[in-house]
Amino acid sequence: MRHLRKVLFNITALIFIIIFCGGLLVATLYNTNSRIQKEANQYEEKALLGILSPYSFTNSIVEERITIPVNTNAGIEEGSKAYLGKQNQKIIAILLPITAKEGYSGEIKMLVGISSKREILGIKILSHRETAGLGDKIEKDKSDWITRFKGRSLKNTDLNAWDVEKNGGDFDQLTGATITSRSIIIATRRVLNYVEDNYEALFKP
Amino acid sequence: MSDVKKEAWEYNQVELLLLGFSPILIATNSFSNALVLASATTVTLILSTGLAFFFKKIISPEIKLLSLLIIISFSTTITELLAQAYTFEHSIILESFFPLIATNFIILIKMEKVLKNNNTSLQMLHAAKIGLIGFLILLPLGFIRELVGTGELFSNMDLFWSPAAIESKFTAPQFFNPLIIITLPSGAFIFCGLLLAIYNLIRSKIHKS
Repeated sequence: MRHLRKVLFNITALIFIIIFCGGLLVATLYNTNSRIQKEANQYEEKALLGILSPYSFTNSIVEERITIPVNTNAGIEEGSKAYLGKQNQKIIAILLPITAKEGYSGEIKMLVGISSKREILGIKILSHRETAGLGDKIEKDKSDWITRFKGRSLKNTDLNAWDVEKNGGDFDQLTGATITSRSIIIATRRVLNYVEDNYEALFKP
Repeated sequence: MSDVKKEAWEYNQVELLLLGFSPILIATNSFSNALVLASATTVTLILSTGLAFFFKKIISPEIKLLSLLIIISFSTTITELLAQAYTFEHSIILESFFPLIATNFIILIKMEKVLKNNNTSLQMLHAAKIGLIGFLILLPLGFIRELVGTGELFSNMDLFWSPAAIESKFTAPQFFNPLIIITLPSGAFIFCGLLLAIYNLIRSKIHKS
């Protein structure tokens, strides 16, 4: 009997500790939630602004997102939202999330920044499954290959030039990763076409 | 001779602390990282010893270990949340190391002492002392590792206060070749081993004279 009382007391004590500590945790969560959200947004914004440099905007990129017309051929999936960069009330740059489907080992998800002059401002690779050491050089911190797209547009690079040098195009291919390079080049060209076709919807909504 | 040998194998406070901080040592490869981790360890220490003291009367010997583990895991999670709120970018850099603070057995030892002793103010003082020593161990470590390992100093300080703090970044002159191994985990232990060797040498010399 005595033993039973002891066990019950211990169990109650443990439950009390858990509830109390849990309450403390919930209180902390509640108090810090807004602050963490704000910091996370700032962090995301800093990362995105890096793609669109040297432009600066009068709005907050993370807050204004618009749903854009779907075009799976160009890599714009259902439900994609573009980020808008405005200078006062005019949209001067957009960030489009696209999926390049012909990667060597699958899809490559990227963000392409395009200015209102229809030029590429920058590309950021979000996720991929390309070969380590070869195809992963599309990442900015592994090589500066992806920065060579900056400034390219359909005006200064005609249709045949959107290919790897091996095939007579303008773009250097990554050593040992021709298919990967090509998929990014083609996806970028398709996005520029998409922007051309949907210019009104994107820049003047 | 055997006297010196005996002293060399003596119970060494600093070595114990170093062992406890082992997982954290891996991530303190820069001054700002060391600052964040040392603060996180101190916060967890204060929280857990405080909670242990709070529950002292209802923790009986049978459930002691279980309740201490519960307390320390909650404290670590709370610390991680606070770190995310106040040092967001660092919490991303050091993402996997905040939970490792829970493995610092020094915190468990302090909590046990709080439960055992009746002189709680002394215990809290000891806990604060450990937190402070944590800073004294980790900050120089981060300082040296960043300096020798990458040739730069204070490179992420702008994440704490204004971006203007980026001016405080120090870059070594061109001829300086950084010793990269020191920024890797093995470098941390090599460096600590060196520190301990020097400390023991000095100590045995003092004991001799």
